[in-house]
Amino acid sequence: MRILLVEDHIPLAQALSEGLTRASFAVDHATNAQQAQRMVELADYDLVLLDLGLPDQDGLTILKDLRGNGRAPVIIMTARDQLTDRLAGLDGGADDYIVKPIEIPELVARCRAVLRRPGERMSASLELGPLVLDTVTRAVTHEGHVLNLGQREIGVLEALMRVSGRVLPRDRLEESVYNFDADISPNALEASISRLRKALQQADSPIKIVTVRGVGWMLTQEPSS
Amino acid sequence: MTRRRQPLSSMLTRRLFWIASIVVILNWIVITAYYTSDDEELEGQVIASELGRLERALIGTPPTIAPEQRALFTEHTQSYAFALIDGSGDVLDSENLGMIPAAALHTDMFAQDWVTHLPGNEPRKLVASRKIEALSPNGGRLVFVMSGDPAGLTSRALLSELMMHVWLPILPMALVLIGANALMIRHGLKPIASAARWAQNLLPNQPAPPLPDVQLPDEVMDLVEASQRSLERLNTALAIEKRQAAEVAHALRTPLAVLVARLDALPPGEQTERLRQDVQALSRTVMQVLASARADALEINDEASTDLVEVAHRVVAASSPLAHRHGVELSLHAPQDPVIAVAEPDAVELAISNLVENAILHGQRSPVDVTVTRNGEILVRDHGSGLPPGSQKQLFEPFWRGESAVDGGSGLGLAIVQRLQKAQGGGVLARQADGRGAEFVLTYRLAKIN
Repeated sequence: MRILLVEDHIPLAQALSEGLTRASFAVDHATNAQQAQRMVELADYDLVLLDLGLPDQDGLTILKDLRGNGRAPVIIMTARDQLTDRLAGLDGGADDYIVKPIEIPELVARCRAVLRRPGERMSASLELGPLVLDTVTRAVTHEGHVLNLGQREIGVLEALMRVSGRVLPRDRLEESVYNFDADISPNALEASISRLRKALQQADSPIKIVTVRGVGWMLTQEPSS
Repeated sequence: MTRRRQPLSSMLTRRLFWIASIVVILNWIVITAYYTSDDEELEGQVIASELGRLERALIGTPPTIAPEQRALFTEHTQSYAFALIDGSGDVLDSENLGMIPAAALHTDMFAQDWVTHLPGNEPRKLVASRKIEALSPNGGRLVFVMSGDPAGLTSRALLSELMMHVWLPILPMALVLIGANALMIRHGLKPIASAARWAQNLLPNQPAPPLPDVQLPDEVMDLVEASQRSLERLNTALAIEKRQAAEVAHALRTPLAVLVARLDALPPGEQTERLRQDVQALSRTVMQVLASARADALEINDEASTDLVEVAHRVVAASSPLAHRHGVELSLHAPQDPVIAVAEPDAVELAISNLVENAILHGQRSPVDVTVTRNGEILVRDHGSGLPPGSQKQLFEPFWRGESAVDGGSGLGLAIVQRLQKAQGGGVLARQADGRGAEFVLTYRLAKIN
């Protein structure tokens, strides 16, 4: 996976590059907007990490150019954390919006999440710790053992894995699992989650589904002790 | 001791009144001095007035002096006398005739109008004669004698002089002047009063209000312009201060980001974990300072509207990973329909996330509930040991930190929440929850639904 990091602060760029490299990404670095634009034309990137406060131009103005070229997803990484900034970034076509400072493990997780999204450079399988979901064959394995799950449960798991570490709101989960599906009983989703939990428990998995009452669900990986 | 405040117009009017009084008194002193230094002048006045009085009192044929005008002479038999003499020297009427020297009664000896002092008499004795046309056909005279002045005719003459020359001409003039001046002063001070009202509306952090709609005199205009300039300088200074706070926090984020990123390269271990926690605390403080600067700069207009349910939903979702890491069960209880409040989404988000983060960090791993009510309240409660006793007031003071506060807190969070709420016309309060735990309540103004 090749990432273009657009960041004018050299020490930060170095620290992020090193961190991402340790996570097996190949990282190229651009220090300004012009350089970034040239580099996107020359090479094919899987992901662009874009700082907004660039010396020559605002990151938002080159966001479309960067995306338009190679359909690469873009993650904005900035010190601007106001809602209006975030909305402007996401409306401008960014796939995610990260506020500095961010720890490398979370950055890596966010990069992977964006790379997994449909329509983008989707890899065939989603991985979270020992859990692997093949998006083509719809098979789920845990430490190599197949988990027997219904299609609905696999749909729920896929949606949760795509945003792992963050909360997936109930309405979004409903949309992704039952798109245009008629006849959903009100607690069908709860039933699916419950079956999924049981399956993970039986596999003695460190992966847990956490309920955030009133909001949605979140997939977490408990530290293996 | 504080000096009593009084309007300039009444101060000036009072001074004007004093000046007029002094003028009247001075005038009075001057006239009194003039007459008392010149006895004859005053005596002339007395004689003229007494003879005039007697002449006006002539009645009957042959003429006599009316009885009611004789009191002066009957009361002071040794001091005043008169005689009415016809053309042939016969005395027609008299009072205290014995006081009158015989010579004065002889018509042919003297001219008919005269005044004389009789030498050698103590007290002074004054004799006067006046021709009376009414005693025709042969003419006649009135003779008046005054010895000493026990009835105070001289003083009365002085008083009437004062009346003529002081009170009548000066007093009405003084009153008119005072009245006119008072009106003019009041009118003249109107621009100052309106400038003062204008100055009362000057507020830091806001542009100067429009100038009063009156023509301001130069001096007042100078003052107004000076006030405007000071306000502008103050506003600029405030803006710079705010921007600097924001810039400093902003500028700190990037090196902080470097620090956080570099931590990843360290081998895992107890020291690394401790370092990570320290950096996290530093990071939280920087965020709070930034939020604090933003809370100061928050401007709210009445058209701003926010769905409290949506924001609470977003904050609970975003805070869930933190809650999970701290072993806290976080839940949202909100109505299905939106609750629209007059508020800035950013400010609502900042306030709720501050309270939720506090509850997660201070609630001793107890469940945290966020509740949105239909009447525009957001309740954030934990089930921990509750508020420190007696801390309700201090809680919202900047940099106040409870004894049980977690390491790395800045003590700014609740102060920020309070400022945000105040700026939006809402409120925040802290209380013990029913049962166990602390509860914070954010209140908002509901938007009017058209």
